[in-house]
Amino acid sequence: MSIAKILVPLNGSRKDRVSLETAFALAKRVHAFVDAVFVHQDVREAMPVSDMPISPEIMQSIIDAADAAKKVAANAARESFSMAAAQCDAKIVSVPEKGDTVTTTYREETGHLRDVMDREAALADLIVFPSMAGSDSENVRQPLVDVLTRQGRPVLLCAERACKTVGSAVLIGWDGGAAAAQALTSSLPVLEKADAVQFACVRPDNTSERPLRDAKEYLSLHGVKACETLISAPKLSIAEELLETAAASEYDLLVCGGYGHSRMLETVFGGTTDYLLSHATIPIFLAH
Amino acid sequence: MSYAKILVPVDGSDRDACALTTAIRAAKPFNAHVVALYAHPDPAEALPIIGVPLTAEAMSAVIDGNTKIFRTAAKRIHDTIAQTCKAEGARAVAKPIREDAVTISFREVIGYPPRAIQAAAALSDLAVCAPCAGSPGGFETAVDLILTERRPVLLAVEPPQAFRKIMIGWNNSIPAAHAISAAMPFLEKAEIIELVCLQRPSAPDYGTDNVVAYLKAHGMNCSEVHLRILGTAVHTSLAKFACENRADLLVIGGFSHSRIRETLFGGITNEFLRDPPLPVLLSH
Repeated sequence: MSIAKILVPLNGSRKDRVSLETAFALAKRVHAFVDAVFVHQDVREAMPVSDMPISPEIMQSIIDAADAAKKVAANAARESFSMAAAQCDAKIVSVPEKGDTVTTTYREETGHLRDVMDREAALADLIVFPSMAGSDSENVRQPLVDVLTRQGRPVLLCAERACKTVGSAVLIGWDGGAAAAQALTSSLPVLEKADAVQFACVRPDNTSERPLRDAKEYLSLHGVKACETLISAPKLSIAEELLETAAASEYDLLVCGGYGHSRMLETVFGGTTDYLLSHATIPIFLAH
Repeated sequence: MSYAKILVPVDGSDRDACALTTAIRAAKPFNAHVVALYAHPDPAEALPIIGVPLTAEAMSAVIDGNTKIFRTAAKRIHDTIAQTCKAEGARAVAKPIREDAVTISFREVIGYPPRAIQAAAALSDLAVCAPCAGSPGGFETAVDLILTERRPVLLAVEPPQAFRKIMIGWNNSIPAAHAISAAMPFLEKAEIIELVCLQRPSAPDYGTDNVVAYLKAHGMNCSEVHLRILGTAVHTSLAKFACENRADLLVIGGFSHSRIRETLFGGITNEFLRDPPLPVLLSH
């Protein structure tokens, strides 16, 4: 119901900086605590599986190399963290606290991202994931889908580059579906603080189960005023239209339901969510 | 963050008064708006399927009868709303609006009731149901709200005047975590928060640092109680403990186990839905 704890997994890549800056920018609006956690797999898992026996010396040197790589990644993550925290005036604390400023902490966990998310995502209000553009994103995609669909927690997907503000002008992709409604209710703390909120309807209103009228009524009970545009005759796919609308009017956050259709439909026919994941040009708030 | 829109599915039965009273008392700290939703099928569609063709007269008699039933129910609901408003100091309004007191509006929807209720619940902050003992339909509605629409559901036989002391039934599961975040507006206003950690002798121990830190991030302190569960009766042990310690509200995750398991072996969620011994907030 309220966003007080934002979890940001880091992996030592250059995208860490963007994730952190995006998280801090949003945290600033809702006065949240940002929990940055560097996740790295156990170095012993770097051992190749082969039929040939491996001599202890080689084993040791493989582990040493993996350990060195882990240290480099951890250093990079720590550096991204301290630079981003300094840039965004985030206060570094050891115990989470609630205040009028952004507070943050950094820690390291050994294990797979998926397992760490399984343990920790349920007790976070929002989980920030890096942009899925590029080839190194496959091992991040599955944890993201898990957090959304199995853990049922909202996700903030970063764009490729960090934005100065996140959540001052919000565009909501509305199709009247259950996932869209979930996204709307879980992004409410952000919407309440936003300067402008706009619905982008991707479906004519009379055909949807939860008409736009109801969504606007819900927001107005929370004191949020919203206007709307109708994407009536889409020339491009829904995902492309949404990103285009967002880019044209300088929105700095897109809110929409993730995986509103079954995973199979999305995979076979190419889903809106998958497209958004790999083409995000602004941060996207997703819920399922 | 607060509750602004509270949904109460009503059907014109005696259970409505209880649900509406609970909803108004839950809405009070936030001056939230309560929507009493009456969903019923189109009278012309609610014809019986009996295998023999109906004559035109019989058909129109059935339709008239249905219309009359729905009208009577709607009228009863209006009366109940008026009575509860008077007793609880709420204001009945025509359109959803928030004022400096609790407001309540009536909405009638024609359609397949479970779907209509679900669609409305998706855009509400909290749903309130009456205890479901003796009402299979009400039970199904509550289960749908919790499982399908994943909305927090509040049930009470005797709603308290204020939610001062709140207990959280914690078993380190995802639904329990969801229940905590769904109950945040109540927790923010609570004076005492107690984390009741349920521990079965056979199950592995778990730490509570994560959940305490989560509450801390929300600016809340809680005390911890560890409750050893012997035998299978989680429901009775937890309920007994919460009642003895005079909790105003118990927050628990619903359907931590699969629904099939709950139905076959009896589960804490089913028991609380049928007959909550104290006010309870369930979320999946």
